[in-house]
Amino acid sequence: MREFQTPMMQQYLEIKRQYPDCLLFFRLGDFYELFLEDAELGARVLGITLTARPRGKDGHVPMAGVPFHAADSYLAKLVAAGYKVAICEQMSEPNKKGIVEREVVRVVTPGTVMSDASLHARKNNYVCAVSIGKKWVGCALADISTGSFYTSEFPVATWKKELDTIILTYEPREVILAKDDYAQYEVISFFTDYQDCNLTVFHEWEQYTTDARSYLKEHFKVATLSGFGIEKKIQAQVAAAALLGYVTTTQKTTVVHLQAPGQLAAGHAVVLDRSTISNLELFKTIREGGAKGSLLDTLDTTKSALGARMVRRWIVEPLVTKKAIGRRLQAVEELAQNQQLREKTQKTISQIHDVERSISRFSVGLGIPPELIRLKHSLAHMLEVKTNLETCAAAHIQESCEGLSEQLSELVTYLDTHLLEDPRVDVKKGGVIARGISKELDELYALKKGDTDWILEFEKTEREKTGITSLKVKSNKVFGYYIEVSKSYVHLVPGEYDRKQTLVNGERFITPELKKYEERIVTAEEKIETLEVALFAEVVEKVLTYLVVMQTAAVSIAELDCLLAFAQNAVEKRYCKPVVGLSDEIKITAGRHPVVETIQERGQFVPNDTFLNASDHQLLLITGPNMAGKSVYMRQVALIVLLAHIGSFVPAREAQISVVDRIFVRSGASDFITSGMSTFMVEMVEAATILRHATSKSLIIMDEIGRGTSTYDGISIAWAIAEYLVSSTDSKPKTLFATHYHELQQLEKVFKKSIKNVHVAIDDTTDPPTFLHTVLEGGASHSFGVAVAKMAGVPPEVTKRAEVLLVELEAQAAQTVSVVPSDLDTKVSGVSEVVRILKTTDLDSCTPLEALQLLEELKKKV
Amino acid sequence: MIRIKELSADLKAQIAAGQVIENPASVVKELVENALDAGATAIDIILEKGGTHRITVADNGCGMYSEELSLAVQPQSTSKIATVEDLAQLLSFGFRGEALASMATVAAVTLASRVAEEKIGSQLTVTQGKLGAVTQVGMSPGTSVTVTKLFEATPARKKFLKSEATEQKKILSVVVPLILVHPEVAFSLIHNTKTVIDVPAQTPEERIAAVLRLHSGVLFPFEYSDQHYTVAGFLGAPQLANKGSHRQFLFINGRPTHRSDLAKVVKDAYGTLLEPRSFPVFILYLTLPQEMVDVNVNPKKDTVTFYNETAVRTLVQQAVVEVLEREDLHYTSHGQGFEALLRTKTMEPVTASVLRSDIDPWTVKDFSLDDSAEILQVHNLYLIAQTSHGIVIIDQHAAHERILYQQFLEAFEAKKSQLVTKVRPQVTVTLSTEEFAALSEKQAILQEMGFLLQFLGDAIKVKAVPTLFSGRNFTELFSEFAADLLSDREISELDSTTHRTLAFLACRTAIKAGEPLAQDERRRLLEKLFSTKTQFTCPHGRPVYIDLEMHDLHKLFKRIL
Repeated sequence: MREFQTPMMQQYLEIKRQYPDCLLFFRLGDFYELFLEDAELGARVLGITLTARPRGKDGHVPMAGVPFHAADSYLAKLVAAGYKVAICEQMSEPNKKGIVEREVVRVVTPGTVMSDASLHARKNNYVCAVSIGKKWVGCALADISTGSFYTSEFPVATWKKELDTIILTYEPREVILAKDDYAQYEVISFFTDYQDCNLTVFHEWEQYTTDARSYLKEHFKVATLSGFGIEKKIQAQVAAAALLGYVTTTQKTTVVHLQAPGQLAAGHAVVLDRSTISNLELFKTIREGGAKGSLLDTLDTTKSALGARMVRRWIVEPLVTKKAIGRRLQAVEELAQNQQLREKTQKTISQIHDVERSISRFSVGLGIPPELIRLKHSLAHMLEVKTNLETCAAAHIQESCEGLSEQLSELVTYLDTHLLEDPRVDVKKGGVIARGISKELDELYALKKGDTDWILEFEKTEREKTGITSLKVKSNKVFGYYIEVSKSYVHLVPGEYDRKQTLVNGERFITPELKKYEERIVTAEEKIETLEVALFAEVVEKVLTYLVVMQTAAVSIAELDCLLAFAQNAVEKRYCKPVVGLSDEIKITAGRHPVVETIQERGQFVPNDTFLNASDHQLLLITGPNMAGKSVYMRQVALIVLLAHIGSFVPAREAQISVVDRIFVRSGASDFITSGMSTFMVEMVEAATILRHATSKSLIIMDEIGRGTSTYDGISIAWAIAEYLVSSTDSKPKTLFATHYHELQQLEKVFKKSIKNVHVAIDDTTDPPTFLHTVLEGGASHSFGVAVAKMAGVPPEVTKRAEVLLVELEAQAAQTVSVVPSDLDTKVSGVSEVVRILKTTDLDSCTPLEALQLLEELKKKV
Repeated sequence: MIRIKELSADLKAQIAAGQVIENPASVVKELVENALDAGATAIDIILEKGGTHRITVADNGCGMYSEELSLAVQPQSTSKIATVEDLAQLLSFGFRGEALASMATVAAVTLASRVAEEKIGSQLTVTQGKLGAVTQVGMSPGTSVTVTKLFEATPARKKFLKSEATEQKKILSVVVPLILVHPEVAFSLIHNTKTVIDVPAQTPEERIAAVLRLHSGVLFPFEYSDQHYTVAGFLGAPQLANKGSHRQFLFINGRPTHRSDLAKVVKDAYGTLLEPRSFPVFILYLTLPQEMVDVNVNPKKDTVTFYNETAVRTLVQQAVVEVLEREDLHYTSHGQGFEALLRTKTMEPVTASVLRSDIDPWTVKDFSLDDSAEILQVHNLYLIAQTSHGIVIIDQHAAHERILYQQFLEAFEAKKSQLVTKVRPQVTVTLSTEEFAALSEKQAILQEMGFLLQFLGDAIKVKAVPTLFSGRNFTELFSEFAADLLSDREISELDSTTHRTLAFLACRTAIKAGEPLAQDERRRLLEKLFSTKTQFTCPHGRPVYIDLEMHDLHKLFKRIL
């Protein structure tokens, strides 16, 4: 590295050496300067001018700077681009002797950024720590801008899959790793697939994790970690400790506002994996990749950032107990029935600022005075919400209201009496603290006012005394207070005036008396400023004693905002209240797709009924032409079930929903980013997951499984999967199974007790055929692929030839497949009988003769 | 030579259609009424280019079987009445069986319908009277009618269509009353893909709030009934009154109706609460025995006649008067209007019209003036006082005027029969037979009021009158009385002349604008004012005072946001 002679550049290098992976924002007066390589990079990313100022003996040093007051927006740009920035401030006042002391006060990284300029108000900004052990992998997730903190641990065999779901669900902006993990190719290649997720090596990892347990206990002031559910989860502890350490290192302060870690949804939420999240387009659409057209986009009518972030969480963490779901539904129902109360409360909530982020900023010493005023108003509005909703009967609303503690009003009063209503942004300039708080401060202000009044009086008397009508007392930074006399009166200036400056049209003077008062005013101002800074710090400290109260209140508001939004949706979108968990059936009358119906003209969406149960309607085999709406229908069912589980009303006339543990959605179109997997491979990997994890409480959507390979391969696989789903003894997941292989319709005959054929109707008496978008019982006879090809504008030569081929092929197929059902019927039932017998036979208590007899019996059955 | 010919069947149908279908609004009205008659709980109206391009009305009502579709577009076919007796007991909107048929002759009508028992619906398109084939269609239960190419085959009629905006306005004016009177039905109206109205099933109050943007604070609900009739609904606070009658809604047995006579009854009942020439807001639901009502006056069915109109009018009048008396009102204002005034920095007197836009709601509140606080007089015109909850600004002239008016009125009421002046010489007034009859019927009341009259065949000899009326042109006075009686209004003891007289007296006697008042005079004025019965407008309808709560002040000064 280059050697430098000047003390400042030496200081720069020394600090830079401590933060090698950061851009260093080096405070020089009113600017943050970047030097050397940082300057080149910064200039490129930020589009600012790269200068190269000669620095004495050091020659040309590349340099680029941004004004400190606009630093936030530049920081946002750098962080958005994935860079980390160390903020280095001047720690001592500049004076003649020696160089100003400088110190890094915090490090801003994509996952730990706190300023609103960098944050998406309606989305959490997570940083994630991953600790890979021999048997287990730990994961910790925190949003330091709001204080939320979670942990999780999973077996090493499935860590990629689990983490994949976590990353997809929570979208962390930054993942921190230990040096050793970072060095592994496998790990790096896994993470590089996520473009918005920045990888960071945490060099002090060891320091915080060698005794992770003690560190966590100490930080959260608890005797045991069992309350966090990680007492026995070593890797989760390590990840949590590392994350806490990382946040502490970047913020350069203890992060008191991070809440005690909760557990990431495991066991207490309906499991949604990657393919479910992306295929149901919960947060972004597959085609555009944007939020518009996603379920969240349709559902999120919350009025505050707090609520918006909560609604996201509710979607990814659907409830699994009838009771919890019922609680939310009850609240939504009550709010849906009371329009005036709802609208009034929503209006109030819309005035609540992002309290979580404000208090987080104050916790790490970043808040500014006006933010406390906004906080005060927000807290007052929170109490107003409480007053509005307190009388509601629903338990959920009641409990959320209880989260809005009366202590908030103490704080409101405190802030009201302690701060001026319109405080200055920079507390160092004073004008923040209200009168009546500090006697000393009030006296100083009175003194200053008296002295300022004296100066006004002085101006008046001097004017009269000298007869100079243009005489004015002014002040500026360089000279302080002075008397200004215009040129034409200069001859009248008395002798005791001391000339200081001559201007084009006047001259400036001072008098000893004036200087004396100037001195007094300046001293008072200085004292005021110091005192205001100290008093403001006291106010902030006092506010932070309400940290937990405010965080709890913020959560309550977020919940109420969500419930209100759901109520609003229920009314405006004509949803109905689902009956959840009454039986083991899914029974939907006139269900609609919540998103597709909003794109269509009102009332144009064709609703459909659905009936699934654990016995004779366990698997619906859906056939029908392309474009007829099979996929929309299946997703609509999945979404209605999902909505019911997050406590929302559902787009249907009536709905009865059984409680599910997982929703699987397997679909043809996949955006799995891991390279090197063919479409078919992805399909099979997903199918494998479903078959392995589905239980009788699961809901499975299988959209055209087996189409990524040759026809016979495809049919065979699809057939076998469908068979497995209904014949596996210990799990009978409710399944919607769409296929173009009409041969599969014969399964209905084989599994009369489980499978029902349904099809999406088409009116083929018209040309082109009319799609009726209506699901009817029975199988479809044609896929109308050729008709669709015609509609799409495929040349007639091709479609005509296709029609001919189709007739031929169908004739052949009819012959081959016609034997299948009877044959398969006996075969399958025989085999399963054999299996049953074998399973129930205890060979240890079997004589050789009995064994032989059994063998013979079995042979007869096959 | 031109010979008289019988018109072709087509032409007959087109002419007949003209009676019902004159513009997009009438199409929408017929279709929405059909939807309501079909028992829909949600009705969606979709319009393009003011309905001239396309009108779709979709409902979730009972729907039709496919074989009924072609019948539905035939004239004089309906499911709504079957016998002549049904006509007298009409409960449905439609009954003539003409609307769809008429539309089908002048436009392209696509009718799609599904009954709940069927899985799939059927669809039929009729273009200028020509029936297409019935096809299948996927849809939710209910009926959806789409009308396009309106008047395309009759260019002369098409020419009469107005601009898109005008047609939309006409559509709204027929649809809004229907939406108001059916709060139990969800409605949406989308014009050129823009959502104009979207309301779920609601309570009547919620519906009014959503559609007319009038919240409950400025509406006074009431229900008033006698043996046969019920008058229920909402009266708008006086400050809502405006120059047009577009926020006046009358429903007779659930059917939107216009009746200028009833509108006038309501307006008169507001009396001095209104500025002259303004129309109060009201939503009235009149329930009469079905057999008393005749809606079959013309094909558009927007005029309703009923028997015993006098009794109904009296009932309405009593209802309104009672509600207004029940609501003891005064102005409170919300900051915005003042903000506007402060911005322009003019110190013009606050006029009623400026205030009206911002004043709401009229709430009843106890004023307690701060005893010790000084009452400020500014520009010798306005008084400003601190109240328990804010400040109040009073127009001293208007305030005094109101007090005096009330005093005159009370004095008049108390002493009207004692203060009688003999008429010397006696005057004989000649009246029309009708007028005479009306007055002689009410002799007793007139006597009670202090009139000493002698009825002579077709003339009245006036011997004595209440002092207030002395020296008046008696012919005119009695004509007015008679007119009141004939138009079926209760003879108001306060005829307009008396009102004008009292108002004039009050005005001339009251403290003028520009008159300085001593502190105790100010206080007395305010105390008197607040103990006056109706204190919120001067007899000419201007506001007397404006009440600013601390909340409003805080808002003005951005202390709270």
